[in-house]
Amino acid sequence: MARPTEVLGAIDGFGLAGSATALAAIAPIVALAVIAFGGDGELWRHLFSTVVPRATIETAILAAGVAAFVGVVGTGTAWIVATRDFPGRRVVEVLLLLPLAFPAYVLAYSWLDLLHPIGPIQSTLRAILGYERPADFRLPEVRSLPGAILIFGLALYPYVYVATRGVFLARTTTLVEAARMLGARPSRVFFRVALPLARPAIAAGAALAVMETLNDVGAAEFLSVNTLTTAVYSTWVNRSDLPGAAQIALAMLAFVLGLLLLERLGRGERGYAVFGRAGRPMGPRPAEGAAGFGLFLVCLLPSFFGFVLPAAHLLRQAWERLAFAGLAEEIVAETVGTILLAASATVIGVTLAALLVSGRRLHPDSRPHGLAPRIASVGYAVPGTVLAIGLLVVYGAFDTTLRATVVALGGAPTGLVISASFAGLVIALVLRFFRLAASKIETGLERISPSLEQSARMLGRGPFGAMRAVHLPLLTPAYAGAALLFFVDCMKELPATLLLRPLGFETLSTRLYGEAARGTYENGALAACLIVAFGLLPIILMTRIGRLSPVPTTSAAEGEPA
Amino acid sequence: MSFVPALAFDAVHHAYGRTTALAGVSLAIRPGEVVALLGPSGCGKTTLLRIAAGLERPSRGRVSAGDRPLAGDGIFVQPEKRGIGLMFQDYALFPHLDVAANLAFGLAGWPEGIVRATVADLLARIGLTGRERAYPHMLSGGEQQRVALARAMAPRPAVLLMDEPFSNLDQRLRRGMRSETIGLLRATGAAALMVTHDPDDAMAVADRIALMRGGRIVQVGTPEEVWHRPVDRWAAAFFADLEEMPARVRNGRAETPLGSFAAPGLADGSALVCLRRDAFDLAAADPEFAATVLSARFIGEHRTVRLAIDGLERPVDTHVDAKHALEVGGRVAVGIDRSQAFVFAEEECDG
Repeated sequence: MARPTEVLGAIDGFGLAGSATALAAIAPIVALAVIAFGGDGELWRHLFSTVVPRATIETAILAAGVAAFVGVVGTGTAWIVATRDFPGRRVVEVLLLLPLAFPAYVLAYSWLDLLHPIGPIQSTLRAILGYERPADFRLPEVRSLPGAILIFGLALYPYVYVATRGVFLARTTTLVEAARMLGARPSRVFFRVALPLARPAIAAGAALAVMETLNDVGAAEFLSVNTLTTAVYSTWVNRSDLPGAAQIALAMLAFVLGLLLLERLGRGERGYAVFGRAGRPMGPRPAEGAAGFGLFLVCLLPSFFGFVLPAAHLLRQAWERLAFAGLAEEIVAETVGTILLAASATVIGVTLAALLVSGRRLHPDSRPHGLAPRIASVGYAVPGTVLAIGLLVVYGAFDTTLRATVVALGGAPTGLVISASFAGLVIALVLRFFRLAASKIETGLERISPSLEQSARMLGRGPFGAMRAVHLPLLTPAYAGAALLFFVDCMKELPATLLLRPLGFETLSTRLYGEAARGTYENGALAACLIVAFGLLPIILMTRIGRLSPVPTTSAAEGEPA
Repeated sequence: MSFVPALAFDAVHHAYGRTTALAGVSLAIRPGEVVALLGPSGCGKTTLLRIAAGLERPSRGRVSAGDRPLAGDGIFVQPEKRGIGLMFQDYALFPHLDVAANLAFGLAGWPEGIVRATVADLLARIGLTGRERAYPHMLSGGEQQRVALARAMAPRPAVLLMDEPFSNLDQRLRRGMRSETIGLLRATGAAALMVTHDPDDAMAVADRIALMRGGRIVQVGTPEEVWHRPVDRWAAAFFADLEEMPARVRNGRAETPLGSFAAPGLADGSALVCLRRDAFDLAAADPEFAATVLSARFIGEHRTVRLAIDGLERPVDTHVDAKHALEVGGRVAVGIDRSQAFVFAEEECDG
């Protein structure tokens, strides 16, 4: 029962920005449903008897495998690094983060080239073992489901590592000490105290990793895995079947929803109240000699295969290519285009996120203001392919309506205005990553006492004036952090960019995808290097912040699904 | 009441979800008057303050300032349009602005010369001249409190609200700040409504005290009135510890083991006699009872004493001048100041 003043109060700048963003965010999902159910019933039956079951099974196996891999590797390395002190600990602590810079498709790209039958690894192995021809000796094929699980796991375990490391470092100290005083051995402390306490963090990190896996279209395709995402993609791209793609996309949305529900249920009723108090960091137990070196090796392994080796390979490839052919003009144009695209989306996305988050805070008893940022965040839970298919439908409808209107008014028929346009792509990226910026800004805002903006109100400022006078100056670091994360994620984005980009427009990621599809790996190496280099930026920032505070904050910890 | 109140609440109700915070509060504050909203935490006093500020919307009832309606009857004036000052419990000084900019924040749109003069005047009043370039984190707690007060008063609001203005100060600083605050308030002539849970704060600063409990105002009156004529046992006990003893009322007198007390208007039957600690006088000229000292403890200005009065089952606590030496186990004579006693009907005794 909204009072008239409440409704009127919602119609201000904050309300307008909020409702526009929220509407834009749900439009593609509504459109998906409309087009899917408007499609042929026969098609449903066909799809669900052929494509969907197989893709669902492969997706489920992949997701479960990735979740298990990132759970074990992420939690294990975090525990070792947080509780043991060994030579080289500081180095692996940072190295373990670095795979975050690798989008899964870039890692897959690099590993495919590394493990190519006539690539460096297999050639070296053959030379060592004395085989002459590739046909005589072969490593197991990486283009397989187990291979994909390994590659995705290596790229995504840092999500769990970061989240659980924060818990182990600062938040369980007293409880772990209490357990030790009660005579528990280290293994018992881990399994009975630390692991249960870290469970929500593990679940959140693993859920993020699985969401990324579902979002991916490049790596799965390179590794010949038929996921729901690749099914959606190929149904549209190869068969131009929009209703079909929409139907699979809906099935996929149900999959994601189930996953999020599972994660929520997994948290259960147990209390994790210790999380409120960030105490002293645990004093790590020293490990010397062989034991220390063993721990070092164990922690080095995931970062070596997840970052060092593939990055070194890409660098060498890029270097050879540069020495051989010089800097191609296209790559410069693509870099500029990528930066332009990411920067446009970042400016709009962060501005909207700032407005919506502040708007909610400044209208504490207005439901519309409270709901807007939540609704606007759905794009982060929706895989990029699904979002893109939904937007294709919305954009198509918009262009058709526009043409009809213009013609009816006696004008010349308009062509594609928003479909396959730069603006359309920017909108897609804004909707996809809105939550990333919003949650980062929200974290910053939580550190500001509401009495500050209330004070500004009492001293004569309206809601917008209070935001400008209080939030804007105090949140500058949060805005900057949000912008960096947003920018880098836009740069790395592949599925939506691939589906929605204007004709002939290439970003670094689509270039890489194209080269991989053609099998000309060495040509994409430079683009891959650039993507990884940009991806390193937020990690560098993160480790610098991490040095100041015992609990590092990262995109992984903050971007956890709603 | 022939005056137009500076701030008035009329049957204000408020609920957070299913919890009732305010259950019909009416209160009028005269121009220039300082009223303390006194009560335990959770009694609704802060909610009432936030409703006056416009930071909370009352679910029912009216709020007005002067003859201007602020809330109720479909009206809701936004906080920035009310012309009311609010001093927050945590002071809410803008950390990114220096003292001068904090003070000038509410003066947006004023001519620059007047802003500068006002800021200089305020700085002088709060004794911070020369600190205008300091940032809030560089100030002591007392200085922050003064800046917060001055900032709220800078736009010369007709009404100033203060949320626990002294709660973040230590005891020693508190006493000084109370008189300083009163001085500033009087100098500007603003009416003030102050929320506090500390009876000493209320007594020291307020012209009138509105005692709140469970979302209602229990009693309104001058400090003397609420101290000397509490409406019920709870109101009496809120200000100071009480010794209570059951009594029987007959013909307007309450009879207890400590003699009879006037109980005008009380029906015959059981009742409760409550005595303030000061009521027991060990230096009385005409002592009525003999007692044994159970314990005595020196606490600076006073000596707290536990006495077993002959004929009384329970021991009573009181205090005497520290100069008065007492021996544990010794016998003393006790007089009773019957003006420090309150008699309440039995059914009013709750919790």
